[in-house]
Amino acid sequence: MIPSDTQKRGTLHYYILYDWSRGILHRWPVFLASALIFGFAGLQCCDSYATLRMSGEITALPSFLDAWIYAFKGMAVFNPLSNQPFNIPALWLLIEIFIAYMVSSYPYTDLDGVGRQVLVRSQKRWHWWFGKCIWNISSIVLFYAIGAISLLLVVLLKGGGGLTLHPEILDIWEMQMQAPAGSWKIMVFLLPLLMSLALSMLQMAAMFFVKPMMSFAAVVAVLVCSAFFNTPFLIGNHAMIMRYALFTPGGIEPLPAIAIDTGLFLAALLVGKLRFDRYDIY
Amino acid sequence: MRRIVKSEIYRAFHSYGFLLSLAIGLVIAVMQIIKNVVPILQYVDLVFLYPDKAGNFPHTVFNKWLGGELTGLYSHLYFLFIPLLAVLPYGDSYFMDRKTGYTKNILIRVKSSSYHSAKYMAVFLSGGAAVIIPLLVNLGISALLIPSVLPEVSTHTHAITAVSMWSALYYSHPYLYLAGYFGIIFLFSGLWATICLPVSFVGGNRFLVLLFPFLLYVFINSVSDFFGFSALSPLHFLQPSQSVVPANFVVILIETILLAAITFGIFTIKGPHDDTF
Repeated sequence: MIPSDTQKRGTLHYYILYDWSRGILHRWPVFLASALIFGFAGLQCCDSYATLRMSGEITALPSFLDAWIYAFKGMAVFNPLSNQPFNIPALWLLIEIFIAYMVSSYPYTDLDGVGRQVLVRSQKRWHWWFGKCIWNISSIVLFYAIGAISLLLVVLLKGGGGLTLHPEILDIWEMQMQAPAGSWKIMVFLLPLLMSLALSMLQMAAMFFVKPMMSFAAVVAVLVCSAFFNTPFLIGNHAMIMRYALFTPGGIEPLPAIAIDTGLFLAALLVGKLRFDRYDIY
Repeated sequence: MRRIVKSEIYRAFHSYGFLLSLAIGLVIAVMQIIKNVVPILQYVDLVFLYPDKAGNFPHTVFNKWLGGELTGLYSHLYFLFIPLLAVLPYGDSYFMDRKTGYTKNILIRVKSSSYHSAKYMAVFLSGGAAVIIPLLVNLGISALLIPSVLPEVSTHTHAITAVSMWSALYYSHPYLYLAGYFGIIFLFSGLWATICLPVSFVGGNRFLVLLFPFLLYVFINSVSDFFGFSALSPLHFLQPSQSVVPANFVVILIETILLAAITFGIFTIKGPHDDTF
């Protein structure tokens, strides 16, 4: 039986396509900005390499992995008794806050506008919510993919490339590699992505309890607290490569971090759905 | 003109956003006192019990309050939140006035230029007040709990050094130094809130209007760090402790003038000439 036009509009895949169109294609400047931010990070990394090459401290050219670690290295564990000023790395903060901004506006503004008509037509609230969850995942994955491509392009243009990690640059960044597990390269790419997925899903669910500005502010507070306290339960730590057990004794272990991120992601998905089922739309 | 200014200021200071902004700021300010000031109260009297003990120096309010901390989480959080706290009271009001049709009703009663000037003034004052009040409350409570002992450079517990802005004033008249800094913070927070006004002309939604100043703040911090000019970042120079980099008065003055000229210029020139429908 061929579904009627109205039935087609009520299906989940219609929602997904609708969100991809309105939430991603129509918001292309946001993704262009992600390319610029990561391109800027790549330039920063290559620039520091060039300075070190001139001073003879390093001979190699930057690799893609070096640039990725540079973008997500974050900061070393902060000791409040050290009498050193607390200063969050500006680049890391910019990337994470930009992701929070990317997630903050679309679901809420959609519900205030066209999305409300679509919701009435579909007659299924959970379709709207799952559509937004898939939009959220797609946006974050696309953000990281565009970021990785931008970093790679910058590194290639500067004559570097590859996935080799140069120990000399680690010394300069004051990172010491502990005994690495076989899958550490995957973890370095996977954990920041998982953290962003979990945090953005929490932010999206929180929007239906408090206003979007408040959920945005709460995410910023989580990020700042994560930089201050070294604990896997403040999930901003999962996106700071410098704090991984790979580089810091007693640091973030990959498996518990994956478990926490996945747990938070699923909890936010479920709580968001339950909340949205009872959410007043007017 | 006077009536519209009064009306706009009344709306700004009686808005839900102003209360919310104050509440967030006060929570951070009070948490800082509970976590960082109250625990040291037990040591305040020790110096008087053992006055002859070499190296003993009493705790002073000037490096313990929210703006004077060297390594504090709360001070970093507060100064990072300044653009959010400043825009919450009234930053999106122009965008919402246009969206809801309020502007149309106002403009048949008052001159467009008066309305735009009053709006600018209200956003500026509410933004500055929302940021400065929690800081004043924190300093006030801290001063009630810890003595205002004149800072002593040899204790190495203050971030202000010879190259810091107004360092001589800090070590001789610290409250005067703080008064000057409060002026800078008020001015800058107010101006930062007014960024929302020109953004309202192009911003497609309320969140972009409200979040743009914050994103710009973080972006400037990132770019200035990259080029090695951290003193250009408001996140650094607005902290009275000057803990990350020494502030530079000329930089602050130029940024303030630029910000005021751009926001006031665009808003008061484009605003009255923009179609209202």
